[in-house]
Amino acid sequence: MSPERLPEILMVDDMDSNLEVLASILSSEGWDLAFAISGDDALEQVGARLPDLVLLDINMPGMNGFEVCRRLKADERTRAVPVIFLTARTFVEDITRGFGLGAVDFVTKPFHREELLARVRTHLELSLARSTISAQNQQLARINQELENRVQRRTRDLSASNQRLREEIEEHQRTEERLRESEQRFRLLVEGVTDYAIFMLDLAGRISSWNAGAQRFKGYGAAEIIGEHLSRFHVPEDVEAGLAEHALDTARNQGHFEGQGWRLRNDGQRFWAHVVIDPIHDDGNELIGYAVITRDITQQRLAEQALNRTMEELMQSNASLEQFAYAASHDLKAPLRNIFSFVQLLEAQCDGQHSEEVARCLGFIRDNAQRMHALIEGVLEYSQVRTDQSGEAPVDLNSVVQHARENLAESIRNSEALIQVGDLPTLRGRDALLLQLFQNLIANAIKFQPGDHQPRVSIRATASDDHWEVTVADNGIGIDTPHPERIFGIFHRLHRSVDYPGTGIGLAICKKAVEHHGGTIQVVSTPGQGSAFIIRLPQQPRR
Amino acid sequence: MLESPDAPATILVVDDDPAALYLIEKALKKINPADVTYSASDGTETLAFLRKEGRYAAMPTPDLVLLDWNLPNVHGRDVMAQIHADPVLQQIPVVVITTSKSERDREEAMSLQASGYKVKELDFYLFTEDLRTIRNYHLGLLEE
Repeated sequence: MSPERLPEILMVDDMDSNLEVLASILSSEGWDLAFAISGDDALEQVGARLPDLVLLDINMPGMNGFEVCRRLKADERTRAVPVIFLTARTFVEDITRGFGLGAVDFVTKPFHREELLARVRTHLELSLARSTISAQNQQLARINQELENRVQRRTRDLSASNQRLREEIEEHQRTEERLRESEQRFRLLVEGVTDYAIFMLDLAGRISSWNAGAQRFKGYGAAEIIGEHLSRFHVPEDVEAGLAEHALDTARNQGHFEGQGWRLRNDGQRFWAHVVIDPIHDDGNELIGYAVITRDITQQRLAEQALNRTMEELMQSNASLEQFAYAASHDLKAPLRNIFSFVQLLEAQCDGQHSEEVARCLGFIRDNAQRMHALIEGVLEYSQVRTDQSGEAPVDLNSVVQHARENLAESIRNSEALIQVGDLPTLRGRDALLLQLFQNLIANAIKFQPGDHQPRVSIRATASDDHWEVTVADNGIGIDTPHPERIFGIFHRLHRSVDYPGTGIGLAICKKAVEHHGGTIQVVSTPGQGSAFIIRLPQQPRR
Repeated sequence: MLESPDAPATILVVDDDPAALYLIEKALKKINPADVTYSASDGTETLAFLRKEGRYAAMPTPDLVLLDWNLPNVHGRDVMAQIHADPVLQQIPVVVITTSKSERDREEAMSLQASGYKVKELDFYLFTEDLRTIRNYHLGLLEE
């Protein structure tokens, strides 16, 4: 029932007259009225209209009022409709029974108008109130349920959040633990190093940490040095020159400082140090200090200086020797030439006139003078194999060999030598030296041949690793010696001059030329069959 | 310029080594006995001769100068430099005859406008042929 709508009352009585009386009383209130004349009729109408109140006569034929009430109350749908019994009798048993069945009131006939109205009004209001309360209760229940649901959900969410938080906290703790361990290990490592001074500076350049190496090199214990400025270790000249500021500035601005110089121990002694300073930044890339690593390289420096001095001396000595060799040989040539030429003149004078003995003696003099001349020229040539770096350029070995062949044209022609040249590489080096190398090797290949042999020379190149391997092979007399490597020694000869003339300088020059280019030369030979000279030259110039 | 190889030439030979001088003069004699040769043994003498200074006032201008390179005191290069700097003297053909095979010396001599640079042969006869070629060429009698 809703308060907006007019209440509907169902009157149930089998006697019309009673219904009329009821109707006349109730109509004055403006309520909707309906009537039923029997128990069945009443049940039907209540079921159909669900009135707000039922006035129910007890005495009816067929189904009496009690039965109707009982059925109404038994049906869920109609249970809530208030029933007021109308009765002529006022027996206590009836009243008790009526209330027991769920009726809400009794009214006795004949009706008293005001009493009837009052009771009906009251019960209508009660019913209204009841259903309002009931509706509100239902709503409350719904709201409650909703709230409970929400609370449950919230609780579940919170619980899940909590769990995650707990896990995160555990993770953090584990990470912190690992970090602590790692820092610990690192600290032990650094502290324990004795060969390097490793220490840290704060932003102002003051010592903030120390290690065993630092104590060893600089002499200070941690307690006395922490807080002191970096310049404590610098020699007076460097302090004046502002070395500390410069070093820290460089480290700060360029990310790294490296240098060598004198440093001071606590006892005032100097040592030569190699120093590296790096800036240290925190996670936000803010500068928080510097890390310094210092090494005592006094010994190395002394050794280096001694080495440099020795090298200087050696180079000077070498230069002097070369100059000497050059000057000596040069000055020796002129007198020799004179001896040779004058002997020739004497021989011309002697022609046929003096004894054979004289002629032979003159011959020996001339031969020896010639030999000396050749030796001196060889020494000159050898000393002039320049080992400085100037004049390096890409050299095509094919044209070098061609040049050598042109230089040896006459002897190639005379001996009818066959020279086969494969594809040779181009490499970086000195043109003149490489020419001497190949020219000497080819000349030897042609010279050291038996009798009427046609010399055959082959020059081939192969690449191996980062080297070129050039082989100059011949079909000559070969090299018969227990120490093949010695043939590259200066003046070393295997044959008598009368058999094969020569100064023993050619191969020495070859070796010098090859070594200038950072390469090696070796010989492989079968006496009586021929020799092969294997030259290895780096593809990229070393030095 | 001479009309024929047999016409006499005047040649100045410069060398500080008397033995070398002897050999050159002997060779020249073989080439053309009619040639007149003068000799000097150092750079100072050479320049005085060419400039006809002092006791060389009456000396003729040589048709050819054979100049040793490694002269003591006043070096061959100094002589060449002075000759080259003198408008009159630079007309005279000067060929450097030397024992030095050094490329550097050759380049230096040629850069000072030497008319030639010849390394002295060991063999006297070969040397003589070299001198013949030099003499005849620089006296305008031969194509190079």
